[in-house]
Amino acid sequence: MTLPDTEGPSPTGTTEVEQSTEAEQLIDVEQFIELSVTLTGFNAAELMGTAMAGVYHAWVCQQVDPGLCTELIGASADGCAELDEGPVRELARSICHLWYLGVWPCPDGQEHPTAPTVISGRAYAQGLVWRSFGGHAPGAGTPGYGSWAEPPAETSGGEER
Amino acid sequence: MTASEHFDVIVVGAGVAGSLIARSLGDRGWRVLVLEAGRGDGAGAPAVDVERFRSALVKVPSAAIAANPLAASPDVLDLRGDPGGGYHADGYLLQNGRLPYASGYLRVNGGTGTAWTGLTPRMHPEDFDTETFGYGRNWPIDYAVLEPHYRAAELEFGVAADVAEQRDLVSLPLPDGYAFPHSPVPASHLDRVVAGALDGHGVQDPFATRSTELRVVGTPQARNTTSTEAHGPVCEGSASCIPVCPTGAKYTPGRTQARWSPSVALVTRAVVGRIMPDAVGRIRGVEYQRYDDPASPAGVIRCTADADIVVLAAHAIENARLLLASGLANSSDQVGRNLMDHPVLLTWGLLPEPIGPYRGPGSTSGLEGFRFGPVRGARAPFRIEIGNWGWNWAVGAPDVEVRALLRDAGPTLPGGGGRRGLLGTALRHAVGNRIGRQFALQFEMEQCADPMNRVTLAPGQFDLLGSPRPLLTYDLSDHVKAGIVAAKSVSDQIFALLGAEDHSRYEPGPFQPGWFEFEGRPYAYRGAGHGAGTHIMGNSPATSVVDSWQRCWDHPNLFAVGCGSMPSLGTSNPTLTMAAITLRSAERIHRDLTALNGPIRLSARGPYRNPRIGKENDNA
Ligand SMILES: Cc1cc2nc3c(=O)[nH]c(=O)nc-3n(C[C@H](O)[C@H](O)[C@H](O)COP(=O)(O)OP(=O)(O)OC[C@H]3O[C@@H](n4cnc5c(N)ncnc54)[C@H](O)[C@@H]3O)c2cc1C
Ligand code: SF4
Repeated sequence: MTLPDTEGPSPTGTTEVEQSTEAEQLIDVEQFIELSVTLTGFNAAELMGTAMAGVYHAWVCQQVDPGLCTELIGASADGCAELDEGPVRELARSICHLWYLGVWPCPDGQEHPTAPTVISGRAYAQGLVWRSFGGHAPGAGTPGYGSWAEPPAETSGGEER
Repeated sequence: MTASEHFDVIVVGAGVAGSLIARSLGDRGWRVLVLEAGRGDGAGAPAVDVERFRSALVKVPSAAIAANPLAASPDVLDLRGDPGGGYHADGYLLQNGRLPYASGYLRVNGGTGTAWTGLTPRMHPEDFDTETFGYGRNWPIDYAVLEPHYRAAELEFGVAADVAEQRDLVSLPLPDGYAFPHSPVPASHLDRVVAGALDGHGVQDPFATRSTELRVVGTPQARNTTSTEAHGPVCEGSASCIPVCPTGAKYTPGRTQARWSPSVALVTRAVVGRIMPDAVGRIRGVEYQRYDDPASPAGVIRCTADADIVVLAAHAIENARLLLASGLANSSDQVGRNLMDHPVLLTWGLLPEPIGPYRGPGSTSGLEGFRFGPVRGARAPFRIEIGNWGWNWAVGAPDVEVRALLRDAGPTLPGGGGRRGLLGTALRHAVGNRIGRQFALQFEMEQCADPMNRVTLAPGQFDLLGSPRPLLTYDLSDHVKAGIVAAKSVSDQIFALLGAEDHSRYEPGPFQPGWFEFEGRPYAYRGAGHGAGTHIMGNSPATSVVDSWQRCWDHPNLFAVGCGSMPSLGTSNPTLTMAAITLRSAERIHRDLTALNGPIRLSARGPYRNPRIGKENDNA
């Protein structure tokens, strides 16, 4: 298991959280990854490859009511396609948004909306969105001279589970 | 205030223009003081920071630099469209035009040239002479005069391009035996797909009598295709050229500054507020304010510096503001007028197959067939850039796309999802499929000099240092709008040839401040960041601000350099041409200095000893 990384505050004033919360004891990282696999369509190895799981687990546990997390885990045990509209589905969207973009969104319907939060530059770089079409986050890698002349990498993966 | 130190030349602004002037004059032994408003003296954290870009929520051209209230950088986010049409401008630039001036610039060491894309097409000989076609203003010099300076600028920038292609497909006269410093940048996979579908086909421009043959052509650019001693590392395809190239393969003024001779002194965090004339109109020097920390305006120090020659290189809008605030150079009443940009029509869509967007430089090829010829009398000519970065500029993807697919995917998407949006593997596939097929075309319109498009000083509005703020009045002419109409029609035909789904939408609202209706149809334009024209060059002191050397007609030892001098831009991104005229100006300045001082002995001058000049007036 990769530990949550310990980058300092990003220029937007955000910090990758790392202290253990009550919620983290309720839902452990393994459960969070399992849930994330269902929600994002990326497998555990792919998610672990980003080295962001620990950070996101801690972040979600800090931001979200543990009861709601447990509810989401229960509701998506047999897949997530049928999740009903409401706070549980909204949480599912937020977790996907986090994994795909490295940004915690301002969930719809919140009483006190806050601006979306960039977790860190590393979270941006590891966004799943880029992998979904075989690309790289701009400004976060060196794919190599002339790489753009080649057809995009195969984007296979995410087979139905 | 203590007596200020005397220099041969003061250069105001360390962007592309200022850095080139300083290099050229420093190499000839002159003592040059460069005063730069922004941060970035090489010490401490980098002023332009790729990590700041990565963690920025919105990846705009100013995303890699820190906010600086004492030297604000106008940004595209300052503009918002209003729901029923119209716009408001909330940033440093105040605006009262019918349509918005939609571009920003950066005030940081290196200037806007830190964040530019780096595309460097030359202007075509006919672009210098649009009066022949019944519009615009002619240059006092022509392509032939500039040609050697184009070569010098290409060498400095390390331009990558193909001579034969530029000669045959853009009909540029290039001297025999000429080779660009770098071999051409490889065409993107997208360029190849587009070329495969378009090359050789004709499209009908509504303003032309005959159809125009399409041909995808590589774009010259200031980007290294091999690692060289002169130009640095090779392009690795990081795809963040705007706003910061992590490898250093893209030309930025920092590269020129690294070669400044020791007789050039740079003072950053030094904001020039006024140019000081003597009783007979010669310029004595400048007044500027130095700060340590932009967050504490109280710690600002007022300084002056004197020189034989002053060169304004602070960007078209800032140069005009400085001249107006100083009450100088304006006997023609042209200072601040003729503000130009390249208004850009974007069209965007999905190709039938994935092409791999967001890879490589922002644009590697374009379509050149709508730039030239008599039809430009009827509508503004345009250059078409093929955009390699998906819908990034058009709608701010991929965030927007992910958000949309999570919520309301619509019934037509693979995987269904309906009104609740997608999750799981259906989400993964839809995101990959949609973003993977994104592409955009960027139609850059020539906009000609119009004295009504202008920079003035906003009455009663001052920045934090007490200088008057710029007020812009801007609009598009019917000539430009006709170009946009033609561009949309050409785009429709191109999309049909590509079998692409058109997703372009022009609607009033926050994200399209450049929305307008013309002949009953909606359009929206963006700004290309190519601000120009505000201290226009010409043949006569009665009608222009600077002569062909970019020397103010009214003040023999004051130069205003940069795109502000350009009487027309053609359809070429302007910086290469601007660099060419600026290198030419450096020769003139050298001759003027020689006339004033007699030929200098390089060794006698020696390096400038105290680059922290601003400190000298601390206790003034
Ligand atoms: C997003 C973007 C992409 C672009 N891409 C291209 C491209 O692909 N090709 C192309 O040809 N052009 C491009 N351009 C335009 C190009 O960046 C400009 O033409 C060029 O940088 C202008 O150089 P300059 O030195 O005249 O001005 P700037 O680069 O703006 O430099 C002016 C300098 O003066 C300083 N300054 C300002 N006010 C003061 C003051 N009062 N006192 C002291 N210093 C001051 C500023 O801090 C700055 O460092 C692009 C522009 C943008 C915004
Ligand atoms: S593609 Fe990447 S490496 Fe190449 S110039 Fe742009 S930012 Fe630099």
